[in-house]
Amino acid sequence: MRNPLALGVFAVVFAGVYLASFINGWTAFRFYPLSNTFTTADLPRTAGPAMGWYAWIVQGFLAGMVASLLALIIPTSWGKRLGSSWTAVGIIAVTAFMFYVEWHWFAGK
Amino acid sequence: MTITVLLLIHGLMAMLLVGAITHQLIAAWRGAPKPGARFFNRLANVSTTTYTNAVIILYLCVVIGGGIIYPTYVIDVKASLTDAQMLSAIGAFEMKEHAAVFGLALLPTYRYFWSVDTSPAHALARKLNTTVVAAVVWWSLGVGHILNNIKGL
Repeated sequence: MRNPLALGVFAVVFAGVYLASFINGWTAFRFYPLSNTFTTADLPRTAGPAMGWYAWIVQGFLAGMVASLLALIIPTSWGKRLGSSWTAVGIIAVTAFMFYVEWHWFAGK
Repeated sequence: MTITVLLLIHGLMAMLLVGAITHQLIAAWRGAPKPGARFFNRLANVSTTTYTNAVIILYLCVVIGGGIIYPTYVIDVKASLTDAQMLSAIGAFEMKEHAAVFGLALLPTYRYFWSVDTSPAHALARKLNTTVVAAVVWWSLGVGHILNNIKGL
């Protein structure tokens, strides 16, 4: 793909949907490392810790792909108006919000 | 034993990645190469574009490797950290896992500005993209190293 606007949309939507999935617990499937099982079911606590990380990545990636395909429809002149640095700024903003969300680990709450 | 070997490979590849992205980051912000025998000049006088594919391949390998050993961390390390009430260590690792994904999402744009459109008009975008990827890599290596010191696999 050689459309910087679509690539930028992919990055920001991927990161944003990943973080939204983590915050809101949107987890299409979970991995249970004790039994080495991927499942869409929410298993009881006896199944051990559940991991949603893989699902959040897949969800973010798919959302990013769909959004970047939609961005291909947008006229390139609109993309040029945005400049080329907004993607990195968007990722920095998502990262800053992630730090804010995760700060409770350090605040002792 | 297998996990120990995987962790070692993961760490070594992360070290290579830190070296590559740091060279590129310094050179990107420094601008045109400057002659000189001083260490910093030599550090910055690299062909920045040649690092791009190496950074991307190493980044993908490190993330995939991290994804493979992550379940063992959850079972062995995170449980111990929770028992020991080392909440800041758990939080730092959570930030690392999120930041690694954000860096992953940025790689296509990073590649575009280093390999496809290298015009001076995108110099700031190139610098910012490289800085974000470098920050993610440095944070991840630092946290991974500290956690391995606290409770290795």
